[in-house]
Amino acid sequence: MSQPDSKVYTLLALSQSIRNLIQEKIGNRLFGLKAEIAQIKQAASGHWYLELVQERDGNRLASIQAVIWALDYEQILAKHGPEVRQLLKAGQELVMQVQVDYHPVYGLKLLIKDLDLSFMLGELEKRKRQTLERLKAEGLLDKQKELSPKVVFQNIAVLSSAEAAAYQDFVQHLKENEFGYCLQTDLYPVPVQGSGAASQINARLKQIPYIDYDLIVLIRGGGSKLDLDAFNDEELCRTVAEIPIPVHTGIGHESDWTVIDLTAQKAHKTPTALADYLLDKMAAFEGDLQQLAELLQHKCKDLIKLEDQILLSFWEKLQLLPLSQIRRQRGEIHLSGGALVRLSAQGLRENERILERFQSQLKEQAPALIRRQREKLQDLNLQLSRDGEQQLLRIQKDLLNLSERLDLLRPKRTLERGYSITRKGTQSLKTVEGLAEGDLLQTQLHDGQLESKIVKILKNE
Amino acid sequence: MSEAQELNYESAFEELQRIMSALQNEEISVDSLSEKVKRASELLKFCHDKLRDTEKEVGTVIKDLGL
Repeated sequence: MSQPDSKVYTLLALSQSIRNLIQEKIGNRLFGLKAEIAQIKQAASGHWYLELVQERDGNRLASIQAVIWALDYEQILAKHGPEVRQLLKAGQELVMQVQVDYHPVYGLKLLIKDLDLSFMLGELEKRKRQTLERLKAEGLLDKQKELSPKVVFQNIAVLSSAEAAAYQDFVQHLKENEFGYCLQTDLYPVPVQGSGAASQINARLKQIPYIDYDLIVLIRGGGSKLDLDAFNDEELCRTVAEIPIPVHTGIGHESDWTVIDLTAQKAHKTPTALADYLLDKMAAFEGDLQQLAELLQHKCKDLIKLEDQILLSFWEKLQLLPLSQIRRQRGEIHLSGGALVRLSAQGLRENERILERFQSQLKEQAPALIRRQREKLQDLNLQLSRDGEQQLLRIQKDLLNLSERLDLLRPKRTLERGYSITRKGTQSLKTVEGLAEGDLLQTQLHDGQLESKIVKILKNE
Repeated sequence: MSEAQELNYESAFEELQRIMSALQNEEISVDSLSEKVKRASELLKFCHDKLRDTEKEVGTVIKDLGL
């Protein structure tokens, strides 16, 4: 313990002494520092004001005010990119380059000059690896992969930011596909970066009516590891693992996968690649259908061909079989004919023998027969000549009578007896009917003819 | 021809097969030979036409798939 100095200083003098001491001992030297942000806010001036702490088991071991001047912040942004913005949040552990600054009015504070992102990324990687190991141990990385694979995806729930170019690209790509396929997409808008992104995506995922969709896709454009850290969120990945329909990711990657990519059923390099995948799947399915149709056609053709061949063979047989049967039948008939001829000849010979027998019998008996017949004829002749004479006399008498009667009837005799024949033309007249006064008549007498004209006709009463 | 309307490929083919096997084995008498041959020709034509129609129809159906 030193003796108290009897001299009294002003506050400014003391403060300046401290400042000088710090300047002298530390100067503008840069320190590498690891600390957690307890509080942070950005002033309208663009300066960041932070409270850095170190804690252990909930006890604060150290704390200090820090600032990032607007000018320094711009340099940091230029060097590391806009993702740095995400790191400036309460609870974030940072590794940074700091200067110690003491101001008589504003007191002691650290000036943050730069951030060490490699450490940050290392931390991020470590956390990611731990998350992956836990999910893997619980079998959650396989759950999506075990879902039955869909042949095509037609109804798709899209988680993305409506304004994001990646989402627009994705929808456009699907819409303008060359095959003309129509995929139904419903957007479930979510922030895809920033500190709240993981929890909002998680909440949104749980709201989707899974039954209405074939697929859920998570779309985000390119980003750095820090940008995509939301997709390493353990709770979000646990939700994805338990979703009963396939979840695919289309997150633009610069390097390796995020945890959600590994949890999902399938991860695609970019949103466009995801769209291509969906279209290819449809095209492949259509190709399969086409092949099946062709197979069907071939099978039908084969079947018809087979039937055709059978019908053709029937046709050929139908032309041959009946004719051959008829030929064979004809052969049989021919045989029968031969038999008939043979039998007939036999019959004829039999008849001949009978006739010959008759002939010899006839020869033997003929003279006697002839004699008998001749005697019979002589008897008849005798009888005939006896009866003949009497009959002849009778006939002569009859003829004489007839001759006499015929003579009486001769026209000349009639004419001689005073009768005459009157004719008109060639017609001999028997009646006055049909005659008219003035008609010319010829009259035949026994010694000449008269020609006369009818003066008057007197018909008998 | 109501008989033809009731006829289908299957039944026509079976009948045809019966006639052909009877022909092959000469089980058909000459008396009914021409009648049977005539019937077989009809059945053959029917089956053949049916095949052609079916072939055409299959082609149309597959074309109508638009694949």
